[in-house]
Amino acid sequence: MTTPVIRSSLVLSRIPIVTPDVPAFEKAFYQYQEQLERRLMWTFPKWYYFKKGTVAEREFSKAQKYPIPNHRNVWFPKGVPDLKHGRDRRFKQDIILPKKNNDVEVSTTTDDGGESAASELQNLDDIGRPIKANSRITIFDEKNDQTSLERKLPRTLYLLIKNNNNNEWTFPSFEVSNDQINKGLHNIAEEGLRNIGGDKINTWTVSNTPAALIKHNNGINEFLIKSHIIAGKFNPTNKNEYKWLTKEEIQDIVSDEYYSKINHLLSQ
Amino acid sequence: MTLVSVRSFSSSVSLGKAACAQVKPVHHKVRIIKKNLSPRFPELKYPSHDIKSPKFRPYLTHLDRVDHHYHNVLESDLLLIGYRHGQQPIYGNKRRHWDMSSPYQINRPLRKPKGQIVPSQTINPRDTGNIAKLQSISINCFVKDAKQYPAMAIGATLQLQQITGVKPKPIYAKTNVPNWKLRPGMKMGAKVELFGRDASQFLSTLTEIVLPRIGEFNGISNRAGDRYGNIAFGLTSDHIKYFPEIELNQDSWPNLYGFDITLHTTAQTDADARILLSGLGLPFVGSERIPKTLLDDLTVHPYEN
Repeated sequence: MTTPVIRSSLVLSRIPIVTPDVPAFEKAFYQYQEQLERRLMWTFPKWYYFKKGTVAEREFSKAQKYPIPNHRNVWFPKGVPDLKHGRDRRFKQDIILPKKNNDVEVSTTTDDGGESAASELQNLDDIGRPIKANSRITIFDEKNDQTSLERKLPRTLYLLIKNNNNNEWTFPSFEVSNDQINKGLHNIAEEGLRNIGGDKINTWTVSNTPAALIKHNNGINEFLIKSHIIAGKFNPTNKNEYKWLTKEEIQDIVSDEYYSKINHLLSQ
Repeated sequence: MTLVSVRSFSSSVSLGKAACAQVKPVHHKVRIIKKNLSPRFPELKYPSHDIKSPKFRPYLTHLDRVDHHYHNVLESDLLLIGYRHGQQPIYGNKRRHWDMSSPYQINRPLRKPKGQIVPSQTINPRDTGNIAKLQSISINCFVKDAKQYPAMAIGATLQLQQITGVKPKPIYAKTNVPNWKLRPGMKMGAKVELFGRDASQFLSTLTEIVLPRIGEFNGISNRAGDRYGNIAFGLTSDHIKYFPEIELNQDSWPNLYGFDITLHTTAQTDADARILLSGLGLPFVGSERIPKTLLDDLTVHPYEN
């Protein structure tokens, strides 16, 4: 029987960049709860935020839609309004912010199309400009470029490498030779990653304690070291095939036996 | 006709008394909650999480970003960082038994721990059951000048309400210091304790907007902490203006009040709490002092008490 060989593997992950995708049911639940909260909220204290008699107060008051007050000769099909400080206390209060002059400018220039880029540049100084969120789906998602780090932003991605000998996808794995035995598993894995992926990568190894041990049938003990990519990119030096994959994609690509051993290490 | 002198444990009626006995042992210790007996306000009987209760307030209104980051990324990392092979519990200094050399020691409360008054905690090996988590954030705003100008305490309350969105509680002076003209019962400011999403919201405002803009802030001191995983630091009145709620409405705030922030975690030691908090985006500076007793967690202790 041959002596067991030790290997050190790196579970290199890119943590989620944006908030997770919320399923439709959860979205509906959150919306319902939010509406309830708005219904139970205190009335907006206009007298606190706007001094009486100022221009700002007048503009704010003009922008509001006030409910109709109760009157004895009027029939209200939705019930008698219960007004206090210009708010119907039975319902939520809608606060309408008065439109500023530069808001109007933005809307007119975007219609033209040609001037929009220039006006956006001008408006960058304005703190009150409307916040425009970037798309959660990037161009790499559309192209399904699995070598890119800018894909599947709400998910954790893991680096997988194709083994040239048996064409199997695994985590990057490095053999620990006898002269390296005192070096530390995490150092060997970090060094190995730089050997195959260049040194233009900044990683943070979570701990020198291995996260798992896989005992292979041929006597190899594979220790898994957990690490996160902070900056840079994996750039294979020897034309190795590599992919950044989510948990489900890993299940599709690796062998069932390997997946059953690493399944518990992968997060959403 | 004479009263029956046998006392029943279940009632005080047989004693001929109107109310329950106050002579020890008192058998009627069940607190009577009058709102449960009265038919007048049925909605007060609902628990506060019931939508029919007037106390009800929905709290799951949005996805909690910080909480998700903790569960998805931090939790497993913290487990791995804290794990040490062969870790042993570090037994705290507990209350001692009497040696029973005197008959008066029977049924006596246990002796104080050696060298201290309050017993200290046992630090258990880190495992899946005791991963550190941020429990709550408490903000304490004590205004020194409030003894001279009581209105300042109201201003401090309003400022906390504005920043956190949670109703603060007033704080009162406890001690009598004649030199400072401080008397017990004077309203001196406000405090607020944040849980769940409120805490997450405050933490992300702090780490993403406020602290990066404070020029002289390099990080929380590594010496901060109460030994049991609660880390505190302070912000002065100059730093408060960076909170967006204050910044966008500066005209309404002629006076700003600094406050102390305590981050309550379930960590067993301060070092563990610092690892958690740095994962949540709070930087730490300075040299770290770890008590010697916490360093020998790999040796098996000969005693258990």
